[in-house]
Amino acid sequence: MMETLNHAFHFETLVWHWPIAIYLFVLGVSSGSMCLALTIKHFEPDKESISKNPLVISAAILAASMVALGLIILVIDLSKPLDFWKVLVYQFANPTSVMGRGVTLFIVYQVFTFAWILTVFNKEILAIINKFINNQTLNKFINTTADLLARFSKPIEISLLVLSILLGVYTGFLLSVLVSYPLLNQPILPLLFLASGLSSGISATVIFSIIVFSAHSYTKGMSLSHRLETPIVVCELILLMMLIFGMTFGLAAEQEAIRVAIAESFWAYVFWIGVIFIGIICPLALTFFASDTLKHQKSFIIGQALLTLVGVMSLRMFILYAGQMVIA
Amino acid sequence: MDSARRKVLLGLGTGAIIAATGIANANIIGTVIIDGQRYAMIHDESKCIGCEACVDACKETNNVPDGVTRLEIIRTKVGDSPDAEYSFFRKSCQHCESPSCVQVCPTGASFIDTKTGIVDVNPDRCVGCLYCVAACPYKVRYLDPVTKSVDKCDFCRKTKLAKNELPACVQACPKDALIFGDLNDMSSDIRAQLNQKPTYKYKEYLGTKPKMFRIASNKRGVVS
Repeated sequence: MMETLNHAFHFETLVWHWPIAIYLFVLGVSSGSMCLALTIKHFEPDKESISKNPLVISAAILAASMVALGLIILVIDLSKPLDFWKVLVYQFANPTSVMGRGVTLFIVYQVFTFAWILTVFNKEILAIINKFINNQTLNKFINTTADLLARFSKPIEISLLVLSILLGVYTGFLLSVLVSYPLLNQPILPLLFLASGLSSGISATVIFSIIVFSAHSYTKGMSLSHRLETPIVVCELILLMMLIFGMTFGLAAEQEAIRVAIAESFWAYVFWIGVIFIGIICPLALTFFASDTLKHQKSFIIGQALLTLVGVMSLRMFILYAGQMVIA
Repeated sequence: MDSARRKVLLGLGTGAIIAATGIANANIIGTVIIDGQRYAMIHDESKCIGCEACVDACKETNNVPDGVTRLEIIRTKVGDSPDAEYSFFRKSCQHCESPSCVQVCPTGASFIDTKTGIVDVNPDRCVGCLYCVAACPYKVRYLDPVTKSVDKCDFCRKTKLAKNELPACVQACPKDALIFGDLNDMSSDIRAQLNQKPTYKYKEYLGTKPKMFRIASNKRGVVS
């Protein structure tokens, strides 16, 4: 058993380790929760209530913090962490590098995220700041900035939606451009990661809002979140089927890569148990078969969301590790 | 927003982009125009005896730390004993003309030297994200444990070639199984060999355009 595990996490062709899987996971959460926040706001007729909505608050906190966490993980994982500034300064040296464009995307995404948070939570942010410092010039500055940004709130929101979708697909593109690994070099990967990022973002937001901001099943946006989950999970399932079928009937190296991944390694267990059973079948079964009273219990909602999160993290680990086992 | 202010903002934006690319300068990849030589190598597997003199010479010349290597000779057993023979395969940088490593590098540290067509790494620019190590389908890149930069075969560009000598491995080979030269020079040894003998290139179907040519040994069943 120990030997199997050791072999699953250490093999000759492995270049990127588990920190990269966590990096992909947190970026997915950021992208998904931002999409959820924008969707809830779009469908909520009472725009004044948005800044008090536990789901929107949680999503905003997660979107901003998770992308920052992703960047920190990326920097720590470099062999020369102190040279990380070179990635910023020289990011346009290779215009077609996916990672380089990812860095550009992080910067733009963060700027837009903070701009959006300032337009939506202007009063709340001021209230928090004033608990510590009450400086009239600072207050005035924040208010003027927020008012100025508010005039462009529509373009900011549309841009942010596009940027968060880009962030979701970026996690897939990062791996799909690697011609060296047949399982990673698949054009479907960006879509698969976007879908799983969306479901992880929704689940993380739901858990966060219940635990930290005592949201409940009747909180505005909660039913919308649940209605979004099922179609996204079904999309994931279809995309996974396309990946498996496409590779099974693909080139020799693709056939071998998918066979090893889902049938002949430790990672096959992670795929069938973690990704398919825990992450897809269980949440779908609970949605279809659980009683309505059960569905309104907080513990049930948290449990179901946790299953999805475990499934998404399993998918990231599975793709990253199983993907590096077979070379083109 | 009125148009005058918009123009100023646009101007600032463009200025920032120009400033950023200005600092980056040099290695903007895309279409790389090789304005000098196009260095390449032939490994004659029919002559190679697997003595690994090339591996040792490389390590000494390029000061390669222990535990990593720029060059490996992979031996494959062909046939059953007592008639078993060995075939030998050189695993090292192919100096591709469409290299995956250069395409993915986020800082431009991985580059094609336009004077020689050699794929190289600028250690000062490398931050060690290992994207290139993952992207290389030949798996010939490693993280240097001393410099913490990614490194690999550079055809001795900074050592022997700088002194107008042949690469260390070529000089060390007792069987003349390695031929090095400029593909742009029609009178070079490598051109003559390529015209005479059938060669193959490894994983050519990936579109990497490798410049490492191989003359297959007459022992059957040669695999990588």
